[in-house]
Amino acid sequence: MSKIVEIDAVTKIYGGSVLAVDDLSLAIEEGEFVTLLGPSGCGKTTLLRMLAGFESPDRGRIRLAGEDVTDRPPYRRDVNMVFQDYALFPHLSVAKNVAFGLERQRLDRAEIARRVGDALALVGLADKAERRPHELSGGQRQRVALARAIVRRPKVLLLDEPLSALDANLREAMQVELKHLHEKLGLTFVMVTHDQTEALVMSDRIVLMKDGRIAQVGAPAELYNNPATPYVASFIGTSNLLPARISAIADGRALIAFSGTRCHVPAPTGSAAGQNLMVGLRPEKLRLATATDMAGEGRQILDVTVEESLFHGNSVRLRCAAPGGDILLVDCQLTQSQVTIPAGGASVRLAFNEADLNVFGADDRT
Amino acid sequence: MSTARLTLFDRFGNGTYALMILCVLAFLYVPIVILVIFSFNDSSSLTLPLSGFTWHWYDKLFSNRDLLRAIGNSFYVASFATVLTLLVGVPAAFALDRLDFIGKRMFRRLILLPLVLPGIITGISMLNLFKLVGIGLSLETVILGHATALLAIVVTQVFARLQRLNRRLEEAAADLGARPWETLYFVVLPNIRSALIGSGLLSFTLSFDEIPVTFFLTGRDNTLPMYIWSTMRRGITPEINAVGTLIVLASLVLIVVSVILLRDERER
Repeated sequence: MSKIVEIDAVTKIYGGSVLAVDDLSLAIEEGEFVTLLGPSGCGKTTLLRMLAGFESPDRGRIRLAGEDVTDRPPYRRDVNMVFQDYALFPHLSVAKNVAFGLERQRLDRAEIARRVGDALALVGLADKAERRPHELSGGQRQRVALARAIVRRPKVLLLDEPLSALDANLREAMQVELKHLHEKLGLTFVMVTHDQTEALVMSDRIVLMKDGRIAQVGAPAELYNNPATPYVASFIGTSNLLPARISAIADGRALIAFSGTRCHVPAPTGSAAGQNLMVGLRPEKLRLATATDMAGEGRQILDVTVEESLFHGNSVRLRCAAPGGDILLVDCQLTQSQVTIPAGGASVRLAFNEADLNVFGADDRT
Repeated sequence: MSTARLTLFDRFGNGTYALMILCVLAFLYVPIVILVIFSFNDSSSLTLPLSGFTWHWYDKLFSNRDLLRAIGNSFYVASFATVLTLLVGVPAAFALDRLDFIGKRMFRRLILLPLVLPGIITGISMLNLFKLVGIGLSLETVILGHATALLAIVVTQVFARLQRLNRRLEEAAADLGARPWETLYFVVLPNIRSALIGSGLLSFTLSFDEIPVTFFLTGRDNTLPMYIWSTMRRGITPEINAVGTLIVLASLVLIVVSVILLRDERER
């Protein structure tokens, strides 16, 4: 595998003062499905537009397949984009929309017709070739936009929130379809989204951004299970973030106290006894303990009071208060319908494993 | 539920509505119908009752050299004034939409001014200018005058359309390998076609029947409205009705042409 996209210390400043992308470096492997994830205003779209060539970085270089393309206009870059609003040409038929990029390459007619036919067949719109974009549904337009972008066989396919305009059911189906398309074509996909579920489902690697910088890069499971900062823990999935304090450190293990309990965890680098920390614990890693469950062997028990329980169909989310006043969210999977859901005000015991705690140093509070 | 919450239209039914529409249409078109009818009436006085059908006035029209020349002049002036306004107006509209320059707002207001300025002012001021630089009056000076007065129409129409044009379309074109001129030709122009055709046709018809500016700027040659106006001193002749009928016919053709040209612009 070789690096197809290299972003090297790129900075983009809007209007002289708004720092959209801040000294960001990232390498993308050929054939990867990379998602740029983050809240609006985190610079992910700007980064994508710089890859496409619609914006030029104020500092830094962008290389595509080893070639420096930083100063090249969009029409001289071997990337294609699926736009958020699709940007289909309203005056052209579906087939002409898809053919547009090939016609600019001066390919011969037979070749264009063949490749347009293939691309439309791939997205399942072979029978809509002569329609105009306005005669299609949202999902069909999305497919035309996809066909139009992949028909040129770009080195990198850029997707700008491609599913945001679709309704929920269609969005889920398209997530799977896009993933399959990626596997089938073997192209490099770079997608921008603010939807963490989309990112988790589809990507090989997620680049979580914040304020123009990368908060964490990694495989979806890695970001979910080992978030580097509380920000990552709370942006991807839900996490109980609780203040903790180091009581003692020995042999690289720290004894920390939080929410009325004590745990042994790997000591964060540079930490010392008496220091304040933050621990993260996913709601689904907590479970209701039975009366016979005891602490030990890495298992911990918390005594809490249920404040509220919210029924989600396949699960129940409990809002519990720990003795210190910390609020803990607990997700109970309703795998068996006879599971009794504790009512508000009930005292319950929660069990969790020390290994499921995410410990964050005091300095990466952000 | 269905209580007596009836509006006026509910009470009197669609009949009232239809009658109202008929009145509006009559108000608009009765004069034109009268003009057409009298152009075929074989009496030189415009009085009822109609005396009989004749092609005489059309024969007379087509043998009137002055009138034919005036019609030719009008076509010449209107065509070139339209081409000139489009050539100047379309780039101006693009500049307003795309470029950021000092005094842009001022430019936008100033370009609209000739539209609201009475033609008589445009006429007199341009006459002064031409006198000053020593340009003799001719049909070409009329073309310049018309183009000035009509520029605002093209600029506003094209500018409004450009503002509504999705800029992502141009990015998509560039992304798909289109050079800037290809984007302009294959994406932008087809999408502002209705504004181009619409403002072009409007310029043409306005120039075709323009009098005040023409009055000041023409040399010895006369355009059709000027000719008609000058013959009016001898009263309305059925010949003029015949000319009017032909113009109505030409307008209908123009409307049909524009409808055909704009037919597949219903999307978006």
